[in-house]
Amino acid sequence: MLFTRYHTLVDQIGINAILALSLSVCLRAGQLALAQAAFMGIAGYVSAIAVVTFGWPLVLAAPVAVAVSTLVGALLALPVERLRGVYLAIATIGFGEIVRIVAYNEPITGGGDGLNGIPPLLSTPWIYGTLLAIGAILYAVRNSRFALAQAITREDEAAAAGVGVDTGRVRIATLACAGAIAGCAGVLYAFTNFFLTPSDFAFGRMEQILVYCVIGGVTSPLGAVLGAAVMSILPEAFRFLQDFRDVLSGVVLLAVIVFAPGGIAAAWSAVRKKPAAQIGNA
Amino acid sequence: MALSLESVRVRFGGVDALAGVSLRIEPGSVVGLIGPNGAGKTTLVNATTGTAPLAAGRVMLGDTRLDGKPPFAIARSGIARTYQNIRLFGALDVEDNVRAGAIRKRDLTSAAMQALLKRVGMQGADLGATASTLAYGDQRRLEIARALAASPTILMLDEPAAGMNPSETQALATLVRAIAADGIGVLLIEHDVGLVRKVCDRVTVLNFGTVLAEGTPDEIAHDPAVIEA
Repeated sequence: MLFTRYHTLVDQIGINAILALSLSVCLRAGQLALAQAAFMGIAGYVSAIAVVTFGWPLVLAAPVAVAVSTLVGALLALPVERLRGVYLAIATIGFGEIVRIVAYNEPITGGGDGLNGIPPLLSTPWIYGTLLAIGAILYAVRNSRFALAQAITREDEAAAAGVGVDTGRVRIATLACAGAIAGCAGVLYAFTNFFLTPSDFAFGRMEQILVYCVIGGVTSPLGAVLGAAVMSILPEAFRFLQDFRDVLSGVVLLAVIVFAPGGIAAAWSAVRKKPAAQIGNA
Repeated sequence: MALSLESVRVRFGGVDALAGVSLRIEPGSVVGLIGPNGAGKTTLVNATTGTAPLAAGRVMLGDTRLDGKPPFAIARSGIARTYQNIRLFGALDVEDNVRAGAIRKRDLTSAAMQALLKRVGMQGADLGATASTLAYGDQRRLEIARALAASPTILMLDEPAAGMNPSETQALATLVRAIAADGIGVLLIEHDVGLVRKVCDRVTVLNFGTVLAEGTPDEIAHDPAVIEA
């Protein structure tokens, strides 16, 4: 009963958590690449058009859509290779706007009216199964050479090259991974929401994904998931505040930045490292 | 394999930071590189490791030409370095910093990592300690451990004794000789002339981007041009 009432929120949390993981992969490599909403939109439209317009089975359309968003991620890494920090952020936001505007103007996407009639072929277990699978993969590779290469590229790109790491390849692989993960979210979103519009993948969505990671902890996958959960639930829990509930989200974000700049993950880590006696005395 | 710099020229704007410098490092030898600030010592390391492009000349490792290759490719060919201003991966722990040095190889075993740390004088170090929180001397040693983890052919140490006390410097001298004894060619940039005389087989003196003198430590100590400079 409770699940039936809140299943849309539960689905949203799962999809937002997957998107947060996608950005977390980029942030782990020090890449403030804000194209997750665009990757999500690309995979969402590709899979939905393949199924609705061309009659493909979802079992074929979904992997093709994720492959497309992965390829787009890898290709996007090439022109932005020399960009860092805020410049990379702006360039990738610009890419997201291009994707959105193309979606608005191409008849095949349904333009501003959106793409309707997407069959509800996926449901909550698919969302959380995908989230678990992605989480398990990220957990399994957390001590891999690729994860280390990402971390040292983030820390000091020149020194990383000095130990033999091709940082350009790391950046390409990172954006490709981000494209793949966000692509999964796009397919799940399309086939659990029945219709797609370009505004589903606009800058506002990207802004939310960034907030999830900041709240959770920028380089912690688990933190990103927690951040997505908290920031998805908050507006619903405080629905009685009506238009002011977004203010609450802003206050939470400010509080985290000021009092726990490392996010939930860093705060939890600090508590765990604190000796029991100190916690007891605190 | 020997490392050879042949008439290397590096220009920054209109200024020759290196003006036709030649240098050779044989396997198992320690070559000292000394000179006043701004002489071009670090630029020579940067030129070798691909971070400063050459305007002329070439850099050879054995029969392989290195200049023109990207820094990561030069590192993979067997050139490891430390930095004048320490460049550890500060937010990572000791273990990950050493692992980073060996990232191109299979993962270091725990025993190999402990052996490396012991070799640089960090036996018993907390592997989980964040690199940026280490004492200055330990940061220098960890940077050397990271470089050694790559099993380099040539090791370039840029002022490794900076900030070390006399006993730490003595330990560093022993370490540098032990590294060379393993067949690794070492380039040692250092202002501590006592350390240079103690560990180097040959010394090159740079001044204004040119080689002022080259010879054994004793020859350099009595070279009139060096004394005058």
